Amino acid sequence: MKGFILLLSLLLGCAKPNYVSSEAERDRYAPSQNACPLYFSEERLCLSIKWSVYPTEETLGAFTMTFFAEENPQKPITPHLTPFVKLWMPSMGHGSSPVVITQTAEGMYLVSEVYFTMLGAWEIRFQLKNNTDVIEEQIQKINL
Amino acid sequence: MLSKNKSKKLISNFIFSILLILLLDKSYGASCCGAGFTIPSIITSDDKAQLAGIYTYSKVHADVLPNGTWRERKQDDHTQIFKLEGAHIIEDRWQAGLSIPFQKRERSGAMADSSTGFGDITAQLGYEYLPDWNYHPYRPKGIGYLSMITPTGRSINESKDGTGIDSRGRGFWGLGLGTILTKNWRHWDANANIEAHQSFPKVVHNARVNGSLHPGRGGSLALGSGYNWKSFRLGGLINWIYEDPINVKGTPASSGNLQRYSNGTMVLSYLLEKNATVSLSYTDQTIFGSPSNTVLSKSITMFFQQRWER
Repeated sequence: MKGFILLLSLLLGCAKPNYVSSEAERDRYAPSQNACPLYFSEERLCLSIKWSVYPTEETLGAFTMTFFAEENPQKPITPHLTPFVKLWMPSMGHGSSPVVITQTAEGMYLVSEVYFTMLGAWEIRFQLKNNTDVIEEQIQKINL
Repeated sequence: MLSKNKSKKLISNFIFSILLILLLDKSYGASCCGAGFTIPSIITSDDKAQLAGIYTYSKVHADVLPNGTWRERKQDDHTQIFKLEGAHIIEDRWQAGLSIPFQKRERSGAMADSSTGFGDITAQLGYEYLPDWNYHPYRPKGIGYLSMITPTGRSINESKDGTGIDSRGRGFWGLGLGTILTKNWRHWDANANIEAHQSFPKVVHNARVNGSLHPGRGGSLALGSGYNWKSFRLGGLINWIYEDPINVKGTPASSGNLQRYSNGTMVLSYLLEKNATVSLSYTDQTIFGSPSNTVLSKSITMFFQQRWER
């Protein structure tokens, strides 16, 4: 009987909304300030990203990604493989719309039209590709 | 001739049985991924056939992360569902049913867009294994059913532009097994629905996913009750829904998180003449349970059903 009452109270228990705004959690997964935030061993290159427009429900995001050698962060280097960016929501197992990648200078790329289909925890997957083959991938988490 | 009490009981049973359907056949899933597993249409009365037209307006209220934190939506994201549901007796205690949803989804914000098309079409085969021929004081009437869900609604991983606006279903073939139990006492009634299902893997090759999706099992439990007076019924129902994580094998690979949410529904129904019923219901996914890894909506449903006697 106790078990039944416990089960019933668990089932009939009201939801306890724990609203947390995405702004409040933004810093939790902010890009690392390490000298080499994301490292691609295949090309021995580091990757750093800097948001120019942070994505929200109302706006498409945009950021700059810069490849560089760890020993010389001031000099961007274009990788031999093709950089690619994929957005992925691991908890639900789905992606989002494709981003637009434009090279703006040596080793520097503007990634625009960054759109996340829903709020929650996402991954920005940075890939180096040889044609369609993903040679190496590094992941940056983002919490919207 | 039936006695007055027996006639009342028959009418009460009849009203309850048809109104029960209004509660049992609704399932509102995460908006990103369309509706969840549903019971399309089951005849719980003594009728030969039934056909229902259902309109639902559903608006997304919040996203819930796997860790239980909620994100309130600021931008509008709503879906209108026009559903046609029918069921027909095929032999004495056997019946077959079909549910065909047609949806229009609209979203504002950074990628404002809209889409229309079919949701997941569901077919079902039912068998009345526990008839209520002698109005037993506590033994319920029981109908078992086998459901088949077809992925006509397209999953978010098959969305043409990746934004998911054209995703109107879970996108997996599925088979479900369940039972509906009903009982009524004078003005009051109670009902329960227990269902378990298996969704089947599928292979997807596009710009976003190159591999296979493995959805696993799921289930739901619904408990409801109602009060009947004259031609009206006021009822309530809570429906708890669970889905296994979607495991993605390939590129990208991810193991996913389980999905859990509850629907709380209030419904007011009115029995028209000539075997027809209308109802208005409100469903809120933010009230009960402990939701996880889902999108919560609030919905209003209008329902009209016509039945044909045996």
